[in-house]
Amino acid sequence: MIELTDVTKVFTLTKDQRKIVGSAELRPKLFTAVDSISLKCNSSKVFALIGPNGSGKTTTLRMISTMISPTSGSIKINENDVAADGRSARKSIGFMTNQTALYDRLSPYEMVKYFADLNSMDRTVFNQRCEKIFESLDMNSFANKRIGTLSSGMKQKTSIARTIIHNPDIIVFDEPTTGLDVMTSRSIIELIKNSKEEKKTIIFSSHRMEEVQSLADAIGVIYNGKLIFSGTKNDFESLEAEPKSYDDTLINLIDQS
Amino acid sequence: MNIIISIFLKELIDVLRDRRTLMFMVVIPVLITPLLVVGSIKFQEYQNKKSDEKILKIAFINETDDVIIKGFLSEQKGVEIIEDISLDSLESGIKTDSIQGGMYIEKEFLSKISSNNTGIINIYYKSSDLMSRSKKRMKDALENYKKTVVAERLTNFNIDEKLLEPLDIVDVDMSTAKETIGKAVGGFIPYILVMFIFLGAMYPAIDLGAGEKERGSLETLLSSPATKFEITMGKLLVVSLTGLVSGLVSVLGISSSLFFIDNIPEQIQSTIMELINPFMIFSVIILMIPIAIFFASMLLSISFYARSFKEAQSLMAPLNMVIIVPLFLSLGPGMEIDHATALMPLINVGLLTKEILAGSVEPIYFIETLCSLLFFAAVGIKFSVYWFNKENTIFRV
Repeated sequence: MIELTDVTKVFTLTKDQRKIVGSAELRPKLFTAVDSISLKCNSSKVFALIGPNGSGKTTTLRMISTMISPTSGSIKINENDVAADGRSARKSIGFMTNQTALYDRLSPYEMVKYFADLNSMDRTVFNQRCEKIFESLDMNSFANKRIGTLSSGMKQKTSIARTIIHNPDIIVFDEPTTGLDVMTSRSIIELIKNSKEEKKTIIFSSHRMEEVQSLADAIGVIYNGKLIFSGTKNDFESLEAEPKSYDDTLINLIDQS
Repeated sequence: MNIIISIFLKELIDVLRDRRTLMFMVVIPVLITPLLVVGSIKFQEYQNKKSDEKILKIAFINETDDVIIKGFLSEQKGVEIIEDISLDSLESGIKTDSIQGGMYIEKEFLSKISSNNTGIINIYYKSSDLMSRSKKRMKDALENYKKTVVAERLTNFNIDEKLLEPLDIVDVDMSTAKETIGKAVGGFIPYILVMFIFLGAMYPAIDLGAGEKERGSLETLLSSPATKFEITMGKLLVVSLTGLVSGLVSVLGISSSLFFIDNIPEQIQSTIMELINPFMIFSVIILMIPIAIFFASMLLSISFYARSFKEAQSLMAPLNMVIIVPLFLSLGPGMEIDHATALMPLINVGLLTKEILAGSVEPIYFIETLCSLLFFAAVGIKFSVYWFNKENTIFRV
């Protein structure tokens, strides 16, 4: 379970960043990327975080994954405060983006073994889990080839194996299918569905509303750092009097805020 | 600790499979350094030989009846005397490089010499023509003539030549060959060593910092249970090791080049072999470790800050100058290791290596230098950990 309470993230801007953010007259030194957001993602549920670019989705997901710390507020992973014990929190998290984020000079086996070592996995447990994952993803034929020589589909499978090797309770996906082809996107969607069946907590950000519609149990809409909506998929759909597309509902929500 | 080891081993495998890193770490120091050393010595030898063998055209304008000077000039090796030439043609010939030198003896020259006065001879040459030895050959000829005239004059006055030589200065150099060669080569060795530590550490540092950002793998690494301290330390160890190996390999490369240089006198060869002893190797390696750590921490910090491989490269380029300047200073005249210079990073390495190679190092300066380098290495580690912990550094937009 993931629980965010009044989480705020303020960045100190560099001189160059100040020119981009804000007008010429008003160039703030600080930028509030996430403003007092509270949300809860329950186990066995898929939470979709949606909103336009630059609204604060990635910052929120990075804070959940403890890559960056919130300026104020608290984040709990399985009821443990991440500020107090970031390492334990990270042990229960798998993080994935649309980039495969692999090392070309390693083999898929070495890549997965590296992340198992970082998670201090027992050798026997690793061997069993690695065998199971490689089997289910049909990776054995290229397990010992250099990643740099693999096709994008093979790389994506390696990335999936790396994300779930330590059997995390929580999986964080930051725009996992953006820019990917249909086949590769499908393997990610399968991963999300399988993870849900395995009673894991899933939070993902996306711009693809058809994915949100098919995968999400709960939806959070974030705009200008503020959470302007949080509720179940039904709550989101009920926002409009007549049935409308998720895109329209999102645009209406943003317009009203 | 296990996580640091895991990161270290993974990064080491990754780096050792990178052709570019291997190129800078092993291939260049092993092959290029000896090629550069041997090549430049051989080229210099060839140029000297060519210069010695070159026949120089020397215009000779003599307005007297003297034939002795011409005789001395024609005795010089590689001189072709050109007579019957005007002064204007001599000057224009030198300017256009059709002749390499000229000598003009004025009309009153012989009368001045015979009346015990000073005769004037003009010699013409181009100082910008570095290959030409016309000035030396003309001066050698005139020096021989001068000696003859002086001897003649002294005989005429019944003066013993020894009267003009009241002192016979005998040089007794108490330096051993080891000290002389050690101090001469000692300035050059740390220069090569430090540059190769830097070069060997540079590419792995870029790959392990900015490279991770470019691949997008930094985020996944940060979301793993490894702390930022563990990630920094694992990477730092690998970058330090590659720098260290590169430095050691460069010394091997320089040493191996000695086998390809002929004409080294046996005594010098045996002295060089005496210089490369276990104490020297051990001392230099001990000094190299903190240098490699310090460079690794600085390079990694820059790499963590850079958004891309390219930006990291351009940010690291000026560091070359920061390294070269103190090493260059250590080569300056009068620079000796003392309690102050032993604390100055890199200057102390340059000065101490000279002493180590000459076999005249004092333990206190070795300890002071080592402490100074360890201090800077510790500051470097502390800084890179602090730097990697800064969100603005690793998620710089």
